[in-house]
Amino acid sequence: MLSRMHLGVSVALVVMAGAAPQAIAQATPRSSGQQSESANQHQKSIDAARDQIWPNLAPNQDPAAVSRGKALFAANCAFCHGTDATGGNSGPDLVRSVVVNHDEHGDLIGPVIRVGRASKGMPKLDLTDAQISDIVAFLHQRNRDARLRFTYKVAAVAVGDAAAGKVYFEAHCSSCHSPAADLAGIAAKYPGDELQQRWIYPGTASSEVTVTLASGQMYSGKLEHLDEFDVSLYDAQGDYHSFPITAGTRVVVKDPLDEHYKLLNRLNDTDMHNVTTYLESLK
Amino acid sequence: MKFWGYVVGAFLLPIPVAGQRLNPNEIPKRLGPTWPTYNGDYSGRRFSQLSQINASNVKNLTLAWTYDTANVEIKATPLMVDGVLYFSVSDHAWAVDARTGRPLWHWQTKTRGGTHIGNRGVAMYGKWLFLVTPDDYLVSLEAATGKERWRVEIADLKLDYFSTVAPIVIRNHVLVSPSIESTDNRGYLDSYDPETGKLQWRWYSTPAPGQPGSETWPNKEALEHGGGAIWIPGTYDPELNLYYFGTGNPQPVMAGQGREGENLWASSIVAVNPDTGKMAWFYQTTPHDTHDWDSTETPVLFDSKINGRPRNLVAQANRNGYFFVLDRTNGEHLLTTPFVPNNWAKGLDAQGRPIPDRSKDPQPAGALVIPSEGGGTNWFPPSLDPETGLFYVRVNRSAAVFYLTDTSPKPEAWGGIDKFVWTGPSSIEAIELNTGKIVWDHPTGVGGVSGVLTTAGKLLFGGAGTGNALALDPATGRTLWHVNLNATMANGPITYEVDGRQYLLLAAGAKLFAFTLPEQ
Repeated sequence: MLSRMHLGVSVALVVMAGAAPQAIAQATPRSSGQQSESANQHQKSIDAARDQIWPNLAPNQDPAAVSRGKALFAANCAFCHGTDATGGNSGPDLVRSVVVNHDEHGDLIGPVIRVGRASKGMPKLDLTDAQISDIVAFLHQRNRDARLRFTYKVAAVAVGDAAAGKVYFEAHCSSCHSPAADLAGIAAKYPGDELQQRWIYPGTASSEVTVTLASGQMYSGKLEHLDEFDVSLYDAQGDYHSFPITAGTRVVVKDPLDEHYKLLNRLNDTDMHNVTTYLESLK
Repeated sequence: MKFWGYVVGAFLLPIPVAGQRLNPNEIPKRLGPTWPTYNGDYSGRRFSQLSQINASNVKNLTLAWTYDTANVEIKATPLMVDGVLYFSVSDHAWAVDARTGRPLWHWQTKTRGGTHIGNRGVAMYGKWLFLVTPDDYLVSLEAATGKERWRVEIADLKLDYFSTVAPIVIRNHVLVSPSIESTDNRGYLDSYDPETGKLQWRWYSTPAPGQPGSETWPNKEALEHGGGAIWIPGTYDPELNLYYFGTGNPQPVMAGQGREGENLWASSIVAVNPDTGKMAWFYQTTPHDTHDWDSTETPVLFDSKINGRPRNLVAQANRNGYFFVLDRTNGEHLLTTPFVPNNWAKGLDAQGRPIPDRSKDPQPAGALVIPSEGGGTNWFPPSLDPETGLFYVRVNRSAAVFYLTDTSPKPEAWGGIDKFVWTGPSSIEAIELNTGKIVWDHPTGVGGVSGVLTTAGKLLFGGAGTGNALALDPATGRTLWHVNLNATMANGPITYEVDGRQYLLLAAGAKLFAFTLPEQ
């Protein structure tokens, strides 16, 4: 149940001092701007977060050993324990197994393989130490991969009808977007699942704001901060301005993603898959 | 000690005390000058009788002191007993003078590992404190010195259990429970002896094979790895002698194909006898959950008339986006209403449970679900004000695409993942107890995660995602006071009284901030 807070962007209307909470609800930006990071920085921040959340996490196993172990497991163990080690007709699940989870470098798994467990119907297997070590590596990697959901891989998302997706696109998206212009080659830029999330709600645009003070003086620019007490912005020259929201202050926010927000709330999964499939064809 | 004024009923055992001590029988029914347990009292209402700080003078609040732990974000609700505050983060605990903010001691421990996402706080019994660590120890400290007294292992770290909960003390029972994040384990609630650390009983979140409820799982293997971790401290009714808490999601989290059935008692509100660990009743809030809809949010106790009949009730604003009211004597369902929009449920069944739309289960190519896995609310402590008859909850708004990544008949761990599409503004919502009607909704910006406090001073305190702390009118949601702490509050605010002065204690980021009225 780790809840992740995530950044995206947004909308809206007019805030007046002393406005009803409902009015402020509509005027509060729907979300804040996503930070752009290079892939390298992104990986570093994932690694740092992982180390903070999971200190002493078991490292990845040697991929070559895992690969050999997988083949050995398929040949010698899968008949009872399943090819994924999640259990079969007669052998238990080894991913959630107490023995496997407590094992260190084969100290518990090794004897089970060498000696067997006659009482539970497990025969001893005639494998070399090197082979057992590879099977151990495979099992530990299976466990680690199951634990760490950020390593999970999403299957192909282009499962819809591209032609139907094109029709939907032309009806709902083409007033702002074009496969010949801003979306040219979009499928090559993002993996399928990321493309699917991004076209529904891109989460990277910043809102435009106009603040009119009681004196009548107006400031416009990119919205930096807005709550029920304060508003701030960067103007066209890049200068920063910050104002208290007092009686007579008028704040108008224009969110370029307003249409995406509306779309998000009416989109069904068939249309989602169709449009994704269409966009996936724009290599 | 002004404390005595708030002790009510047959539990009064006035023992002369020297220094910082807490007799668990002194945990008040009406929350006053002290804050001796996670929710202040046992009811979970987080409603304080203190009214020195009130709607007419809250605008005068001034900073009394700050304390910077120079550590990670504080998610714990501090305790305040006899002028000393006790609080924690993962692997650390502190005692701080409640009047001055001066530190008294800092305890820390070197971790073996475990998921480090936070610690909800400490519990007190006599002159001892209790807290859990991410690597699954229940640790007892001496309150006066912070010196470690003993530790016992409450779960198997190697099976990926970890611990975050604030212990709850009921008489001579220290109630704790480990958390489950990924590996398919069985959730449970433990009771330990506060003197010796000996296990008194264990209640499992899934039935034993053959026990009623086991028919809601396809087989023994699924049952014995079915999750239902108890993440958040519960509440207690001394008259009924029942402890109320919520169980978490079933395991595997998002891939339900290996656990066909309703999966009892995961995602349920449960009542157990704290002396025996025997379950009195349960009510499942999400049948066969596949979206991580924990039911671990605080079950709040209150009494009210329903159709002219006085009843003992429990209310919960659930992560699945629905508000539930049950009869807490027997679990009878009385009310279910949505408090945030969703697209995963098709309506309510005869027992008032949401009916999941199975097309919104995680799918290999994705299903767009509102809200995201974070839910309509989460662990943030809610509040219930008996004077307004309203339940206050932190509400989040979001959408995500839920992917099924493990399509095998026997998936493991999460078996799926949700990818955020949109995270919208949070708010503090006021829900009418008897009808579930949303009376007001005060927006608090993106990312607000604080709990809520209400007081007899006709005030509600909470945080905003924009870094502000807010005081609102609990009747209308109108803002009465704010201060920018420049960091998000991530715990439940508390209030207490020392030397005749009422304090408001907020945590934002890694710092504590105490506010009070100026001296007259």
